[in-house]
Amino acid sequence: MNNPGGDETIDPVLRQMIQEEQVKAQFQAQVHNFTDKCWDTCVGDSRLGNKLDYRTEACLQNCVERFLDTTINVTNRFTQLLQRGATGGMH
Amino acid sequence: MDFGSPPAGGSGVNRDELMDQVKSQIAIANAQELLQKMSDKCFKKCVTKPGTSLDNSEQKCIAMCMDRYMDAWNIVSRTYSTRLQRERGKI
Repeated sequence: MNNPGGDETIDPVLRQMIQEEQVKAQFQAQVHNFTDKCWDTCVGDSRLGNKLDYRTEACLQNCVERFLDTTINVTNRFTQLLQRGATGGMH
Repeated sequence: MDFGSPPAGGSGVNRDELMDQVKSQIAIANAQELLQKMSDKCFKKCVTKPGTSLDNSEQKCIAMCMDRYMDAWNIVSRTYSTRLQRERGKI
């Protein structure tokens, strides 16, 4: 948390509690992000019923897992590219 | 999600009261995000030819869409949480 020069006056227990809430809030924000993307991918234009069918549920689960895999893949390969100096003027 | 910085120290401010405020602000922001996403997705899905009011079928569609979106949100939340635990287990 950004609080230049004010850290001495903040109760450390309070700071810890707030940090925990921040972590939870970040999790929620990610869930919103993934649900947004995966709704488009898995539900998209198809008709809605009284519950999500098994195929859609499986798609949503796979979508989250594969998106995370993609992020990891992209990060790893980008790191390799940087190390190889293959990104032109980017570093 | 931005919820500003807390007042320094704890003089006169009960830590629990402060944490209740922080938690409720986060919960409100979370609900607002959900509402905004649902409105967006369900408008796209249900109101394909905007008329002079929302007719009965559009309203039913919106209600069903909201329920399905929240189902999807819960699936994504569980999947993400499980995945995080699995990744932590590897460390």
